[in-house]
Amino acid sequence: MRITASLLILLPALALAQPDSATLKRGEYLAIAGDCSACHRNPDNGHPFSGGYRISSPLGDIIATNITPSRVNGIGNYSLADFRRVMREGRRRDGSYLYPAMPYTAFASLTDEDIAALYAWFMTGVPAEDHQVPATQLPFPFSWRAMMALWNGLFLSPQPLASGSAEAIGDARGEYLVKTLGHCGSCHTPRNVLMAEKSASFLRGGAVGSWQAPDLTQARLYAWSESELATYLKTGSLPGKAIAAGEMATVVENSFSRLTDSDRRSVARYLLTLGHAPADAHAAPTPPPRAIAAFETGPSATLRGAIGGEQMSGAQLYNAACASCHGAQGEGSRDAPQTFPRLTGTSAVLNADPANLIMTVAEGVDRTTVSGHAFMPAFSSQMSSAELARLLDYVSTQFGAAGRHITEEQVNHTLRHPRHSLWLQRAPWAGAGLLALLICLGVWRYRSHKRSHHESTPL
Amino acid sequence: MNRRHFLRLMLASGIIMSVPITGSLATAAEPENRFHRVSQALTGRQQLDPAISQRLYALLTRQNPLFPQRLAQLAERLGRSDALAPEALLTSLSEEEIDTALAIITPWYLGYTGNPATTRATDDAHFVSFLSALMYEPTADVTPRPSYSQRGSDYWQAVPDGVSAPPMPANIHAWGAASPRAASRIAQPQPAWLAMVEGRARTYAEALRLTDGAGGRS
Amino acid sequence: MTHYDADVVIIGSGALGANAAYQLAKAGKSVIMLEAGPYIPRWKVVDNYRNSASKRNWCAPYPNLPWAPNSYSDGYIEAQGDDDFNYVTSFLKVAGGSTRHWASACWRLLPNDFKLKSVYGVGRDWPIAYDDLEPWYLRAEREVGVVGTAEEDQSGQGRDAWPPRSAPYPLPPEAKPYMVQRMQAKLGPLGYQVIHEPHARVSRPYDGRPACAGNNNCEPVCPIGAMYSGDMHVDKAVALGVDLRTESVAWKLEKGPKNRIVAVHYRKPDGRDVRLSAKAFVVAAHGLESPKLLLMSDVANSSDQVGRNLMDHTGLSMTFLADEPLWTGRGSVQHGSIATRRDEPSRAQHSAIRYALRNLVPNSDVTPALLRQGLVGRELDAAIRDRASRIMNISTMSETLPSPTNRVTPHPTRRDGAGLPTLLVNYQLDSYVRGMRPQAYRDFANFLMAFNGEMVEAPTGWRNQYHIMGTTIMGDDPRDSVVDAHCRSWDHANLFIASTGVMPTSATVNPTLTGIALALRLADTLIREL
Repeated sequence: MRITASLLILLPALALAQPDSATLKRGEYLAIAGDCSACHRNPDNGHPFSGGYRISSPLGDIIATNITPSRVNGIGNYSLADFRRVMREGRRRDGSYLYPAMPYTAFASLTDEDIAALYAWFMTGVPAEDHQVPATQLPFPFSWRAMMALWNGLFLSPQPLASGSAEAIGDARGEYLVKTLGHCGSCHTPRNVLMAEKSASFLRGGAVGSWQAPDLTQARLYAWSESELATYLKTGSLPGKAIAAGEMATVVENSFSRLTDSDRRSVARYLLTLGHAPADAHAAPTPPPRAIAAFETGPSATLRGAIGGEQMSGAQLYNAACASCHGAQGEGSRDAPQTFPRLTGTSAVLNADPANLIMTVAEGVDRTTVSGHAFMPAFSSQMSSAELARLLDYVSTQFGAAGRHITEEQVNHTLRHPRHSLWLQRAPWAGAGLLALLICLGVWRYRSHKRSHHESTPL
Repeated sequence: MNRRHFLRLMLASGIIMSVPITGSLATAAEPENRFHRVSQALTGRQQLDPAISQRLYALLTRQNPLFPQRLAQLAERLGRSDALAPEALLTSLSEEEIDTALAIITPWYLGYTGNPATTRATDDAHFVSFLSALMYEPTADVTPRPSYSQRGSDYWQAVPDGVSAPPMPANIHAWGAASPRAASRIAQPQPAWLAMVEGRARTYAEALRLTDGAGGRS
Repeated sequence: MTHYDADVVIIGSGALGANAAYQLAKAGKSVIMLEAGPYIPRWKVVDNYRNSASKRNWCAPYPNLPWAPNSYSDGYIEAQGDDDFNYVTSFLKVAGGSTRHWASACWRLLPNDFKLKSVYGVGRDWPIAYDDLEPWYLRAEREVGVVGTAEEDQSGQGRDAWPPRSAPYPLPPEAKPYMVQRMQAKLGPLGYQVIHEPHARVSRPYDGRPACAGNNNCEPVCPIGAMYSGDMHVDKAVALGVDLRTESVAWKLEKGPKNRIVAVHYRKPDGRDVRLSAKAFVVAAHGLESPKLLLMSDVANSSDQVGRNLMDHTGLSMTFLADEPLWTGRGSVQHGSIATRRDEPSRAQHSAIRYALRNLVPNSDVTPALLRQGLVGRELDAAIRDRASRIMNISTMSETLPSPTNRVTPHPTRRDGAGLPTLLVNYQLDSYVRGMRPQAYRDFANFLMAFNGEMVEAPTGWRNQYHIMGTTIMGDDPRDSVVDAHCRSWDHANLFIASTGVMPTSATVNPTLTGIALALRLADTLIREL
């Protein structure tokens, strides 16, 4: 009897505790849209949410936490209110502050329903893993998390956005996705010296390690149509316009390619409303026809010339290392969609900042979506940096813009981009030191002033 | 090399007829320019690369000091005004002029002069061009120029453009367990085909005569 | 405490030596790998190829240095033998070795191939069975990225899958080209089973390599690195700390007390000699240079078999014009094979036969003849297109038996640029391989008939496949073999040979995968003992 009674009492509670499948599916979809696993993945076993992945920030590595419902090492003890506080305020259940590597500044604008659905998914849809993740240790004073309270006060400003529907295309829905779940600004918005996104330059371009996340406003996208942009988000490939590589390849692979077609269109539609098209909009230049004789120079005259590239021009290096896939004229392959994209008119080549072109050639591309497995080998180990530089200079000037040279210094600088910025890490010490110096100076002057005053007073 | 055969073919291929017989060939200022125009006339291409022309001209001259003279002669013949009917013009080409013409056409098609060896390190072949080699143009829609990929993986399974594939089993594309099985016994060869394989007959007709028609097609 | 320059010195940086080096380095051993030739990046080979007039010459785009001459060097190999066959072989001297210019066929031997003597009464048996080597076949397939199907009878009888495998191929088969479909459709009814040929051109991105995209240039160089070549393991080995010494020609193995090898001497291009000591030595200089080194050093030859028993896959080749477009040249240079005669009872009398289907872009084969006929202009273009669409070549892999008089020795008088002897080869075709000709002719006649073919080149001559085997033969008796079942020299406990030269039977398949499997196995032995 008592058992039945307690069961009767528990049942509604159980019913409440167990979310319906529609909410779970929605939560799962939102987690894909938010690409939570991009950071919260476990690099040891590939589990999408049990943490351990190191996010490289200029101040040091920030280690993503375990967000499975493990009670020991995850968020198993979190209530919905706790979860909401993480997403809206960047604060953990124990009150400590998160670093904004977790883009809560974007998630803060999520609707209550979406936060609840995410919570339901993470608490009941994701299996618990007790993976213990080491704590992030940034150098002092950045280890003092409480300073984030000040930072949040300055830079955390949620916006009231309507979430719209995943099945209907609209730029309000697109705005919601871009500003919250997509957190596109985390990469594509430039940051100020306090590492906050500059809200006045929303999506005007940012840096991700050695890569450049391009400007997504009309300044760059004017020549794109909505369906082209949606295709790019689905496959990562729009030959002649852009190829997703580096981090964007993983974003396409893990997140965008798995959204609904309407959501991708909504994102595209919204992005195409931002900013103004450039005044002198011009089509991608057609490259001048290449003189074959310039690079088909016959067999090498010397033994050394026959085994290395020191005497080879950029055109010759291109023909040797790149034309086998990308074509002798950079035209790409003949199939549709192109397996090997054409280089003429593609964004990495046209971009005034050569970082993405350098990084793509150096690291290659490895991206799997519904349209297949796109792969380009990494060339940084196959050539010297001088050879790479000549090759890149040729690609840029031949398939991009005639005067846009790439130098060996630029190549070296990009490839050796430091993970952490010593300058920024030491900035507070420099600031503190300067302050201390000023104080000492002030004290010294005060005392010398007192002394001279004392001396000038007749006894 | 049958001279009349060569001339017939030049005529049939429309090469000679399509040459603008305006005398410009003979009067081209520099020998390289003349060589370029003659090359275009003989190959029937109007877009030959002038730098490759220059290179080939220099190579042919190095190999044969009489070449510039021969070229001038050939150019003059080809560029003769239409006072003579084309047929009469053609029959006046000498053996030497035909040889010169072939010495020009061959490297444009093959991309080299001489005879490359496959199993020896040294030979008398000289590189002219690869991307300009005309022999790859007639098949460029179906097969690649070696080392330059045209398409991604697995395209080769499709029936090539322009080919009507004979009917084949439905699972002909499959490897492995689903691949169509062969007949369990190997057929007896027919005598005429065997004779050709053994080198006793050059053509099927010859082989039939040799084997008294005993081998028929199945 | 003796000081050694390294735990192991490996002589030769081809696929076999580099695979051994990589395994040893992974196990923490210190390795020095000597290579007679230089290091040349893939893209530079591509550049050389495109700027060469001799594009069907598989050695031409690779450096051919006076102190490291390849097999095509004028006068490097003097071959004596039959009137109707001139021995020619093909090998490189560069980092990565001869797999840089192969077509990557990666077959396993069949169980019967290990027991030719017991089953068929001819030739020799291996001292190991197929099952003994199977785990290393699998590892070799994974190391090089072999593409294949485990569902076929690779002995060509159309029965169940054979040989037995402990795991599937690492990569699935590529699509079947149209030409191969036509071969299968026309030759299947005549009793010839077309099966997939396993190879190392990855069918999807694998291990940092892109998938094969049909550049159709496997030989002499895969422009994109889809096809495996030994330099890939050279790079991996060097990344783990292996000391690769290029332009270093080993010329003497030095014997010491207890018949152990104590040092190797190598020569630099400037004539300077260097001596290296190590705990163990692996000779991995392919099938002609390895026995030459042993003979020059007077080591490992108590059996008097070093350099003897030279085998290749000498066979026949037929070129014809089919009566329908086949369009060879789409895909890689070789797809599919006819293995129906790979393991028949007639092996007791004559060589087994495997047929290879060539898939080269044929324009450079058909055009010179058309030009010589005087074709020009549109007629020439049309003729090129017509012939290129219909030309086909089928050739045999035939097996040869080990014979002590088929041998390689250091040339008594000629010297190369390093001052070392060149090669003298004696190679004669025996009745075993000559005896397969009638059967091959019957098959060729069927192939020709199936396509109503016009003969271009009848299979009346002989040609080699450049697969060097037998010259440092493996056996169970030190009196008639050079190495034991573990590729260890009978005479010197710390000397191993990683070469297809150890193979006692040639069978009808390309030997490289077997060589790599044996190299991995001997590396395991070394790791255990060092």
